[in-house]
Amino acid sequence: MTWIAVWRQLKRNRLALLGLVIVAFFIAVALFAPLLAPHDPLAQSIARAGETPSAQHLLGRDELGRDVLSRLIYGARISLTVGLITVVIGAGIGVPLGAISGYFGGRTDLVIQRLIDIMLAFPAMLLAIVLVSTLGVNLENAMIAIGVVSIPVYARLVRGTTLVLRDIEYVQAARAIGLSNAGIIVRHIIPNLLSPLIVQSTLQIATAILWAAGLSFLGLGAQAPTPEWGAMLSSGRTFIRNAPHIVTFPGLTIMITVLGLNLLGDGLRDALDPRMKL
Amino acid sequence: MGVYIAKRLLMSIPVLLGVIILVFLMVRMVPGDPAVVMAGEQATAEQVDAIRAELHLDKPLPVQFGLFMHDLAKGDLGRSPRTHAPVSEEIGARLGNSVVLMFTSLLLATVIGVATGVISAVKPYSLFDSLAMLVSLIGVSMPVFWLGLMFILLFSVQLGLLPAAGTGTWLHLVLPTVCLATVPLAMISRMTRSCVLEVMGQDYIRTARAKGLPERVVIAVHALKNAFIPIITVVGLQMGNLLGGAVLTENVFAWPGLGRLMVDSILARDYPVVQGTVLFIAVCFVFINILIDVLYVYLDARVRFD
Repeated sequence: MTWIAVWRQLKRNRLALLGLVIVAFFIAVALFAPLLAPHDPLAQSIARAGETPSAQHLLGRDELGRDVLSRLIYGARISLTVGLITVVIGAGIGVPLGAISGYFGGRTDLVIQRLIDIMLAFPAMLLAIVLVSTLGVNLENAMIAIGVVSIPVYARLVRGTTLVLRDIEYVQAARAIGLSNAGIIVRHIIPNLLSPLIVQSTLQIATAILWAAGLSFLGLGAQAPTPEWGAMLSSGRTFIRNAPHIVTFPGLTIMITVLGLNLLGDGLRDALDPRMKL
Repeated sequence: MGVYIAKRLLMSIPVLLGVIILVFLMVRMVPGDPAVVMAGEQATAEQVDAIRAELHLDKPLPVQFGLFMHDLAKGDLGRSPRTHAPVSEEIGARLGNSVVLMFTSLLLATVIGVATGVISAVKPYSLFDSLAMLVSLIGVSMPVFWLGLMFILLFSVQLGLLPAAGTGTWLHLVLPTVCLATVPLAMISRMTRSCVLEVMGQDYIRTARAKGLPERVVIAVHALKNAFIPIITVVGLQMGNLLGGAVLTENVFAWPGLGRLMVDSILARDYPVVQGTVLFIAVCFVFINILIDVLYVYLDARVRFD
């Protein structure tokens, strides 16, 4: 299926288009943060802490007098980075693992699947929390932890499809003319996995942003004064009585971004392959 | 059936062993000397040595593991260097709170989720269906901890109706329960809708209608009964979401459960408690999954025991 055909499908789905717009906006904000932010996201002004929204500070000031809007704009950079890095880690390890497992089968498959079973024996969020506590509490390690936790999702997805593909005629033909196993996996198996991987990764970015915010909220991710959305909620929660705007806007931002990614992911799935089960 | 359960339990042994090894290693792979980290900055050399000796950190890793397994077999998870209480007591003191919260949330999510899912499926693409779809989409896109904060803002701060934190009365349970139930509710509702819709297209539903049964009976008896099994599976799959969400929810509402104990212990570098709590939750999760598999087989005669 060509990209033009996918676009034609996607265009008919209003919710998916809404998702696309939200995601495009989110990426643009992340890329052009320094141009868009009206103030320095780290500049404090204790005397004016907790000020409600005004013309100069559209979303108000936070508990240290910093501009909430500017912090949210810079926070988009962090969330986009989190999303991309965790997908690179998860897919980068999960895809080859799943392809090897499904393609070679036998003992290799058994060993890889048992390892994945052990990872799946933990509730995902719990595994991420434990990994962070082992690696050390900071945003980089939170990204690594979330990436590692998403490995099983990719490995399972790729293994299932590879199991079907390896016995298909053109793969057998490639083997017959002497293409190496690595060549077959890279040239014939992985390209066929592209559609489900794109869908999975879009949804995975949404999950990663939610989890990274969760870890930061618990104090196990981004640390002060980083303008990470979850960390903003964590440091602002004490002021919920007197300055509720500090915790309202970061949460709304997370929700809209994640909703956009979910809508786009669902739409892409319908456009790429309606029968795909994810 | 007995054979199936026995087989399923046997199959879980390598996974359980893997879980134990993983948790054991993770706590010992902490950067730096775990004994020094745990003792804190003001500790004397004697205190560090005492912790090292108590946790057997001075011995080679395989010996440590042997001792760890030996203690584990007796149900001994070690002591917290922070509170000096046995880890098993720390877990026991909070287990009840977590179980209550998760049970009420799962109950709420299942009852409301199945109900909205069925109504949506009976009248697909109706206003109710579209609204339910939108709400569940928003539900899975929201950070649960933020939803919790918004609940506190509205029901505790603004309206003063419900307590914002702690335990005590059943009123304390309301906000955390609704908060934790959101994601599972959305998932259960969406899955119920698609399961019931699929069943409604089957021949026996057409037969039931053709022989003149009222729609109410067709849905309640023929459709729901057959959609029940996949719904059970989805409810079971929510256990992971529930355990993960509980960590965040307990934190927001200062609910003294296992999730909060774990996070507090991580931040205080109380590794024996971290190790014990994680191990306990993971082992519970493995057994819950076995239970769901068994239930699934028991309910669906088509699934063969081998």
